[in-house]
Amino acid sequence: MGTLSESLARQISQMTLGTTMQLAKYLHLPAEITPFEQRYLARLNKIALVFFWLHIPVFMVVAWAANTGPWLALLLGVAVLAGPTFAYRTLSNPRAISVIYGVTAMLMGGLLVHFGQGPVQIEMHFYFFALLAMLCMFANPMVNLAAAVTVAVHHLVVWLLLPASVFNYNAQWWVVLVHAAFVVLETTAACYISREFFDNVIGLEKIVQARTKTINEKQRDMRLILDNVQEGLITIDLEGRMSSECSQVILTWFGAPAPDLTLAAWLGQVDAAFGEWLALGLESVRDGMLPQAVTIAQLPARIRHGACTYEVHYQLVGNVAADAEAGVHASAAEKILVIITDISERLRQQASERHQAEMLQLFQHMMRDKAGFVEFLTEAEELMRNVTTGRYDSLDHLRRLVHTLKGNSSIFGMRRLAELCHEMESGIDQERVAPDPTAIANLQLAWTEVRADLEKLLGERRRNAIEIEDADYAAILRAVIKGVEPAIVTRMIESWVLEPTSKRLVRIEQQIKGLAERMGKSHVSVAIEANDIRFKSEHFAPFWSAFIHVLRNVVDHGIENADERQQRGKSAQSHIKVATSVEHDRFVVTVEDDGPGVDWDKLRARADQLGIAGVELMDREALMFLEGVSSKATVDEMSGRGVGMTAVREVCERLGGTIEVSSKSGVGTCIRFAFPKDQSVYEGHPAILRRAG
Amino acid sequence: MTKTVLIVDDSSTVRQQVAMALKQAGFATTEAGDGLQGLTMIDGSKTIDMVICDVNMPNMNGLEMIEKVKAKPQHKSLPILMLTTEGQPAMIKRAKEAGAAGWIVKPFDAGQLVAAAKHLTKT
Repeated sequence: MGTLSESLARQISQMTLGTTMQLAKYLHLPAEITPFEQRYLARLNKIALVFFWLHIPVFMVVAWAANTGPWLALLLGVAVLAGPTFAYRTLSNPRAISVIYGVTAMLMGGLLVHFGQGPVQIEMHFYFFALLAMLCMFANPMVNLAAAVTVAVHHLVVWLLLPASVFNYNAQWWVVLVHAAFVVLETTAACYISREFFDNVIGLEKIVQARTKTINEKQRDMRLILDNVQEGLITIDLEGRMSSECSQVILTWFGAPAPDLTLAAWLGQVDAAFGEWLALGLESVRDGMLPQAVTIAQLPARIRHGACTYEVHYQLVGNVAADAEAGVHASAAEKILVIITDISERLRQQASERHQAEMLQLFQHMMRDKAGFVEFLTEAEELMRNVTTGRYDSLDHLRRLVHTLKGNSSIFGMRRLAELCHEMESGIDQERVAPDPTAIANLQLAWTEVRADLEKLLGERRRNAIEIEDADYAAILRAVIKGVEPAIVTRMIESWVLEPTSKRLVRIEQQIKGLAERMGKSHVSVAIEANDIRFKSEHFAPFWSAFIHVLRNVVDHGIENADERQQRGKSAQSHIKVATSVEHDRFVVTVEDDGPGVDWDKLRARADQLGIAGVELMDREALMFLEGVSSKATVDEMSGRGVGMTAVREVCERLGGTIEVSSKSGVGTCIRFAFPKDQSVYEGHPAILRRAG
Repeated sequence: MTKTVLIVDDSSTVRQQVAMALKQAGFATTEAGDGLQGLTMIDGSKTIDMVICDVNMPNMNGLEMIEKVKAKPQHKSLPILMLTTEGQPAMIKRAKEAGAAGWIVKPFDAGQLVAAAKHLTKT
């Protein structure tokens, strides 16, 4: 039991101690005196001191009226005020002066009650309570407390020693207690008021200071982020007006905006197209005809400024995120966070990587097929010249030139060039206007770069070295060892500088596939058969150059659509075969398809329609090669080079060749070009050795 | 009720892409290859709830078509959405003034296209 009561007592004493400490902390103000409090108390202390001195004449009048001795009132009044006056003059802490004033006030109250003896002596007690309340102006509970203690001691002592000084009757001890109870009540409330007055009014400056400090710190942190972040961050309202803060890097990129400029107007100075689109896009975001998420996605995403490219993201900010979280239908956002990133370096790096990959591919292509490569270059050079110098008849012609360049570029792995061509082609398709000079300049630049790269690669070739394949070397070695006659060996060696048709046919295969794709006939398989033949490049160059028309013709007319093939009981896949061979003394190039065959009657009728004289007398070959010429599209595309389907025939004839066309309706067509097999054609090592016996 | 969207574009590939996106979202689609054809179809049909049109087309371009459609009182409330490249702000501006609801930049995002179509047809 003893232990329980002990621990209870300990607990109670601890609680009491805690409460007392709290109370003491409440009554005792924090040590720091702000400049505001300092100024306030200095003024108030001065006023209070004047106020106290004004009591003296009043006391003298009261003393004169109550017959209690005006001169004594003067003497005692001056004696009481000597202390606070001295304190006011000497103490530096205004709060300490205020506390002394608390004591002074009660002593002055005591003097009034003393000199006010008579019928109104009890009423004079009101002054204590008035003063107790007035002391709250010091905003310091210690002042109230000092006053309360003073009045308590004063009453007790004076009641004991000189009762007439406080009561005009024979007051009992409990009357003193009643007075004390009122004092305690008022003091409690007064302390509370003083403290609250201090905390919320006098201390306001401190509160503001603390908040300002927090805000400043936050702002400093924010500024630190904004000054150092590599992204351009800025918020705009739906009108495009910018917030006052933005990340520093934006200003570095685009310079400081003039005041009251919208983002669109500001960045429009840098990239006019961007500015125009942004203004237009924001109008659409504002008008609310489409969901904000949709309209915001249509805002322009790239800023081009000199050599730099910036990527721009837009994010709706405001209540949107909160609404979405709460599962409420998102209300319209009022602000847009614009995030700008400099992607120039990334683009440069990508371009450089791509460039390296392209170089590698170019190199591989060149190693595989040097002759074809050089031919491509010549052709591409001319196409580029036509495109960049405006040598085309119509928009469609330009589009085809660009398309051909695109096809050729992609065959040789020049992706950048092919992409630019593709962009330009789509642009022409969609806009129906010639590409703007910038696009053409870009294409020209890309081409110049490719040319420069090729110069480096082709530098090797310029040494006029002959590369010998392993198989060639082995064959010649065997021939020499076997004692094959020198004329044959010489012929074999000479073949090293000839171009193998195998390489030419690979290129033709790609051309056919490209053409088929372009004409929307991708269901075609191409077979090639080279038969080990080689030929003199320069001699046959005009033929191969014109040969593209034959291929276009084959793809155009020799491939039915899938439905037609099905109706005829053919496989869905069309087949085209291109072969080179030597037959007796002829070098033969054949192109075969399994298409619908040539509709001779229709062809004749069409040629007739075009007003070509003597159609009825022409043979089939002549007729067929007229058709190409009369096709407007073909003339257009080839006008720059001056060749057409007729040119194929002319070239053939010039080389001493013949053309034969055999066609079976519904089964297919075979076109056969036969040239004299002279020194410009080599039929392969096995064939020549076989012939030599 | 299924809403019908008329797609006006001279590129069959684009028409196909748009149609596929819309069909997957439950729309019915019908197609026209140029502005003139689009205009004829709009005038001749009572079931078209919305039009998506290209800007550059042969015979009659998108802007001209929108201006002609919107000039007729019976089509005042027909929503028209444009598909465009970031090339011709002036044209888009005029189309908006003529009464087009808005535009989507090519290459378009199927989700956005569907969101716009749903919004405009109130589905």
